Amino acid sequence: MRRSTPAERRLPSSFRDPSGFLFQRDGTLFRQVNEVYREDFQRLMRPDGLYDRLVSDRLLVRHEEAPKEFVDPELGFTVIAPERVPFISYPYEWSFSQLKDAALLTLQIQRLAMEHDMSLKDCSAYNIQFLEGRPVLIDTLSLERYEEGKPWVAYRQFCQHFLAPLALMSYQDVRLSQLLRVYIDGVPLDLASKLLPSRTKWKFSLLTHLHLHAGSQKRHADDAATGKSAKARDAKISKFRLTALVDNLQSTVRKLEWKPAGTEWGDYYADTNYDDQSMAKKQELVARLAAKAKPQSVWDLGANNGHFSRIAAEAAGVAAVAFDIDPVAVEKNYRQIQSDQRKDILPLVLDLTNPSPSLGWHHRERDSLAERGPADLVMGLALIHHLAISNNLPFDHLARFFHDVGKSVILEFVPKSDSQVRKLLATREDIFPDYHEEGFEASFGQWFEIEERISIEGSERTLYFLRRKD
Amino acid sequence: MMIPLESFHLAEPVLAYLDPGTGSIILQAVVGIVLGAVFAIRMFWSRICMTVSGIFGKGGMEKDGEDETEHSG
Repeated sequence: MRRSTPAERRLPSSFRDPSGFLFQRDGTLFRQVNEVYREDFQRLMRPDGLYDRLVSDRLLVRHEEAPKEFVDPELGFTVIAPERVPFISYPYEWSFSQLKDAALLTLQIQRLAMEHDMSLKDCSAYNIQFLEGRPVLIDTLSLERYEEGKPWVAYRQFCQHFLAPLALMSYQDVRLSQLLRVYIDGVPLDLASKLLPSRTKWKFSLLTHLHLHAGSQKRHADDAATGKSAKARDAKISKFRLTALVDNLQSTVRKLEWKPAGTEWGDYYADTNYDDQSMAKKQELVARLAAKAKPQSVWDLGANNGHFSRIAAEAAGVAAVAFDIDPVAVEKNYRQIQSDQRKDILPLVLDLTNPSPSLGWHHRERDSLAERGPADLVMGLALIHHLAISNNLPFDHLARFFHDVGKSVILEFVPKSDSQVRKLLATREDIFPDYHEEGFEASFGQWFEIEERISIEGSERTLYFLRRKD
Repeated sequence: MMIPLESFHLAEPVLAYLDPGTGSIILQAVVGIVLGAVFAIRMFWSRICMTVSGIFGKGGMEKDGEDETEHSG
């Protein structure tokens, strides 16, 4: 493998599959398809074949043929330029329904692939991204020719990346999605089996795909050493039975549900600290400032159910990523987007006090939040007091963080006299002598030009529009 | 008659780049037998239902299949 030239960059996450790899050249994304994948690629790209079907149904990203300028000419067969996903997100940032939809998409693709005598050779949740509000497969090279009788090689990976975390979120606790942050190849099935409540053993599908599956893995763990694994590799499963297996996985995933205990979706997050008039004023201001920033990318940090993300996205005419720490708020936001069929909002779960780190081999397989930025516009509405007071973050630290992630920033300052801040200080000592507008401006002024400072009528709060000093 | 060129390629043993796991393959083969049988019964039953509804002209019986394009939203 030759080293990339300075103008080229192989994507560090794209190394496992010998079929090809992603690279960037002069800012454009390409995928080198290797000679070893030639026949699979030709099967995929047949006229009226699987590619056409998947792309017309928006299940797979579209690609264009590109000049055969290989990064690795010895291996290369062809080069394609796939459609770009504006913001790459990861399964540990998805809400329950996002992971569930990604799982159903994967199984739907497998069913369609089998109808075209092809099959998914991997089922990584990282191969699914959200594009225009819906999940889509981004790894064109995941599909291989199906051979009658051959078991599904990606079955284990599907259970680890999708079924195990979904079952844990549904039957135990939605926060267990964070196990995906620890286990990059999905939740180990023996761990899932231990963590799931015993009642899941009475569900035939969860009993087989998770509990018995974990037991079978344990029982045959040493087979390679004793030579028994070669025999297992000869195991056959007919296409009909494989279809039945995938069909069962589909109905299993569809039946998994999650909703927060004792809460109805419609009632959640109805409260705000604004009356109608001051809320209207805040909306108008956010729309004006978002348009003024002329962003290509918007991140709304602490977006709650995405109300202001929508306002900013509409005003600026671009898509917005709506982050919130609360999986309930993110789930609600996602369900609303699905029901409205919106294309411009991507809701994600994120704890800003411990944001997604860089993960995987050489810390380079999955990007941290900061590495996916900076965004042209970052918003932090009704957020600063949670970070500064609940998490003891000095304004200097906050200013530096926002400088790293945003070129323009809309921030709402919430003073100590505000009822929300009073609530935060009610049960603790006030150790925040610098928590006032002057302190805020002194810290943020070191990193940003304070272009606008607007009092929100009918409230005690102030909205700031900041531009990064470079 | 046109015969696709690919038809002449013999099915060669292609090793997966992922380790499918011996335990996973064995479980898959066993569970496949059970699920295959259930699937066959379901298809058979669905055909009976369709035939009956066809004979009596009701047309109101739902096909026992599921919409694969749905999203949970």
